[in-house]
Amino acid sequence: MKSQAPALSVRDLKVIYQDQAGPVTALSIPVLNVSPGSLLAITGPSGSGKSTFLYAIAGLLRPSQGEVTWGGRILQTMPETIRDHWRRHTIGFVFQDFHLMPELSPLANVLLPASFENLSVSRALKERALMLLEGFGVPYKRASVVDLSRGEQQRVALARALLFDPPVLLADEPTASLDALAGEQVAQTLEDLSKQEGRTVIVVSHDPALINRIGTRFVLERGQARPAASMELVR
Amino acid sequence: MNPLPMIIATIRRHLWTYLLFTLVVAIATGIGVAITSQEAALRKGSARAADKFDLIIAAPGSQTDVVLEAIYLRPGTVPLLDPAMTAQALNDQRAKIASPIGFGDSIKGSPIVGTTPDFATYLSGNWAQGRVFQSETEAVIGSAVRLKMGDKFRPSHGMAHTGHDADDDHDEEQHNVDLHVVGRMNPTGTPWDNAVIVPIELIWRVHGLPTGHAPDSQQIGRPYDPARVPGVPAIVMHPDSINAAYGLRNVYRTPVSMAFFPAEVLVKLYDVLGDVRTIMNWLAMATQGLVVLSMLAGVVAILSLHRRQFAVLRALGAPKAYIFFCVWGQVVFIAVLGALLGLLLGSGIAIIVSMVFTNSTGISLPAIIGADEYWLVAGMIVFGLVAATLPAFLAYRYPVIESLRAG
Ligand SMILES: Nc1ncnc2c1ncn2[C@@H]1O[C@H](COP(=O)(O)OP(=O)(O)OP(=O)(O)O)[C@@H](O)[C@H]1O
Ligand SMILES: [Mg+2]
Repeated sequence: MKSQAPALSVRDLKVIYQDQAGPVTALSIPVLNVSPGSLLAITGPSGSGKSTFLYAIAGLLRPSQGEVTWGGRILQTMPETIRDHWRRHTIGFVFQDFHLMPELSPLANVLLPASFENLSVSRALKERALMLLEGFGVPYKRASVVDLSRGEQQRVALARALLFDPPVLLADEPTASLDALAGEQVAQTLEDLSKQEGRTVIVVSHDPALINRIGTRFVLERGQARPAASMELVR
Repeated sequence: MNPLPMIIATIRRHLWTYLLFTLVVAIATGIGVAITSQEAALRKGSARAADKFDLIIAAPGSQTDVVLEAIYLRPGTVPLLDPAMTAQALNDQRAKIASPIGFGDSIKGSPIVGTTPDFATYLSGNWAQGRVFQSETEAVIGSAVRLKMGDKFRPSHGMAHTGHDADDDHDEEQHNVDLHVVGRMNPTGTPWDNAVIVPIELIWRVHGLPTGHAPDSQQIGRPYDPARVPGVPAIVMHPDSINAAYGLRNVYRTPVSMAFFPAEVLVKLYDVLGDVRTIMNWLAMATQGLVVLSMLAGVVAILSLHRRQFAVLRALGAPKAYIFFCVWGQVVFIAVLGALLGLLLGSGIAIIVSMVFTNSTGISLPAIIGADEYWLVAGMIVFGLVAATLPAFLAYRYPVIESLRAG
């Protein structure tokens, strides 16, 4: 990993949506600290604000109130282009439905984030992409990602998230569309990324097989973290 | 930043739809290109066909009719010029060339036109084959006439058009004259390419008219005997200088004759055409604009399917500008490819129309794609580049989170 994971600190965070019925508080977290290299699981019923939490700490949504700080940098005050660059290099994102580009090969999918930055893909990045795919055991020579199994597709998505070697990985239900075996592999990978490589890994999941691997968990319920409104989460 | 991989991937995903858009843009552009190029070609072609007809003297009447008949060899019925006036004009030394134009029958679909060796030579420049006619039994042919050097033919029964219903009591002997082809003209890009050109004296003779010379004379060309010159539909003059041309025009503006520059008649015609052209240009542009707009509507519809994907790209760290250019690039692809294909298509249409037109009129239309057409295509492309910012901006503004949740 090219840089030490930054510490996450959330203060007084509120995300309020305007619904027909009036304002809905989707997320309300007075204090949350996550030390570098943590492996953290978030569970909670549907609609409890889990995804909202991930988007907020990734700087993808502007909270109604409060701030999110990574390694001392306040996301809310970063100019947008700087924040985009920061996100590319700091945070890897994995989704339940992979969101790969079916027209592109596995390798091209992994390299896609490189096109956000440069005109051409550097040899170093290409080698890194191949290394990641090989490391995850993906048959990457297939013409299109749709030729891959779902587990393989999620591993391509993981490789894509890790292209720029981000110190933080956020995963939203990464195993929900996988069968038990594929889910197990992805879970193992996520665990390794934190425990062996020192990344901060925050996983939103309902999957007991995944959650049970992760020691630190917290539960969101109607936007509130349980059991305490304030929790110190240290590895 | 290089949104190309995404642009290509998206185009591939909707390949047929995008090709259809491109085709529609190409057709709209092509029609525009063909219309402007052919309109310009029609001017150039018709003007060039009239190039060597500096000044025309004819009986008073419609100048346009005379131009159509004498220059473009369209059959018509212009009245004959007064014989005395004809003789005076033909012998006028102020004109380097003064030639009658009279019509005979046709052979193998080519009209037989009577004139003087001077004018035939002037029209042809030098000769592609052979030489100009030197007697009443010789003829020269335009470059497209389906006869060969040395071919013999008979200016057969009843000449088609003499300008009036001559009392055709000419005797059979005169009719049975055998003509043979002694020269072929260079291509002129005018209806004369399809003409068989003979001495005017022969035309007069087969119509039983005096031949402009003593009855037993075989002379052709100037000088003419004023007492023996019949009327002709038109006389074409080639004066030495512009001054001489204006002078001659004044001389032959009389109660029994009119004198005019065909170029001026064409300019008047083009004036009328010009208004039509403006309207057509606006129509062509409006069509293209509409096509681009409907294409944009289609793209916007397709893009709304991609909102989620754009949100994912943003979550992966893509800058907003990347999203903008992804969409912009797709529309630009359609606009640029469509416009360039349209240029090809338009050239193709123009060439075909030119060929058909040349075949039926003899006027060669230079189906040239010139500055106007390039401007049209460039305008289409610029319009596409600008119009593309619309859906691009829409995509740029998609809220990431709502799009990520959607679906
Ligand atoms: N753009 C929005 N407008 C209005 N309400 C919203 C919006 N986004 C989220 N919400 C609401 O905020 C709450 C939290 O949503 P969120 O997606 O974070 O839940 P979740 O825990 O991820 O649910 P799931 O497990 O189903 O993915 C929900 O009640 C949701 O309806
Ligand atoms: Mg969710």
